[in-house]
Amino acid sequence: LLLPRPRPLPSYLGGLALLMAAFLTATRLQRIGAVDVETLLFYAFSAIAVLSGGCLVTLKNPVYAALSFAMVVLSTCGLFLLQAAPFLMAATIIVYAGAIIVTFIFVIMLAQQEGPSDADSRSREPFLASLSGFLLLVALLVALQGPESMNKVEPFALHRALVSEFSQIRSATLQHVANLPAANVAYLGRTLFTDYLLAVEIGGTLLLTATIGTILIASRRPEGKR
Amino acid sequence: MTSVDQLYNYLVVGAILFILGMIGFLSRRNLIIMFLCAEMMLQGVTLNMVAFARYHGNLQGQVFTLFILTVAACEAGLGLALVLMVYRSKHSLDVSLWQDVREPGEPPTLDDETLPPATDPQVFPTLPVSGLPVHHTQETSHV
Repeated sequence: LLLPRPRPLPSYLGGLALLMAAFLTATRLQRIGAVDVETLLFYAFSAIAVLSGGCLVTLKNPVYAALSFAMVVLSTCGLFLLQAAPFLMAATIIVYAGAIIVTFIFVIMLAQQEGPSDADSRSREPFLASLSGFLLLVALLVALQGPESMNKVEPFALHRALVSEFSQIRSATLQHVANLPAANVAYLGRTLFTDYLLAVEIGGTLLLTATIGTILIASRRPEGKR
Repeated sequence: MTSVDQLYNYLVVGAILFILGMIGFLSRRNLIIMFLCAEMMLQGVTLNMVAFARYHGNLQGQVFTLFILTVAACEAGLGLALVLMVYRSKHSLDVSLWQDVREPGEPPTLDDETLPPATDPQVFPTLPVSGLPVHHTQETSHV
């Protein structure tokens, strides 16, 4: 994982770190039960997501980086679909892969420069950045697995007890929400426009404001500097 | 795979995406790629939200993911507009050119060795000015 961007750095070092990281995460992810389609799809999608995420960090050419970000988004959408969120999948594909990526590539083409540039082929403090990233990752993994590895208590046990209590309470309203992906969308809409109506309105206002601000910022001033 | 294991795996993938984005954001110098890395961090958080929503069996996580999506769209638009402004004023996307605004007392970071010369000229597609015949000049188009 050190491989990111420093071209002067020997890349085998990065490859070694990548292997180590893959091994570590594999040992963390080891709990494979019965192999079914969902598990296989999960591993495939997450592998694609992580690999193209690494490409995004690593690649020099910003156009390739944007395309690998599109791959990250698409595989994340696959993971959404596995988690019974079809509407979110569609929305994310449309917004990210449709709109944001196109805008990014447009800006890349607009703001390109010839030849190798400082911005693309150099990096700031790759060692420190990767080190802090690794530290944070290890901390997260330990925190996720902590209670189990300490005293063999099932992780989130207390949490699950609480949740089951809660879900008994409101099982009347939300019983088959997460079961059927088709019914999920209807429930999502109902939740969105009843419980979160104010937030939806605020989101719409935010979009409008951002549109106006973007137009103001990006449009050329008539007296402008270049 | 029980649901806890499933949740755990999704959380791990979300964490990895987040941290890849963080590493990229900290160490890349191209403004656009820093932006993309920030979006990837958002993807990691989003994945966590959806996994928790599935685990708890309610939809609040998905609702919040929708709001994250909204804010990400706004943020991408505004940020790209700002990137365009920055590019117009400096003609580069390098954030290190903006180290004049660093804290007082910090020494500037300088590049020690020069870049290797361009081995292969990378040809990007350029945007021609609409309504004019296309002619290839050295000048890059800036709106």
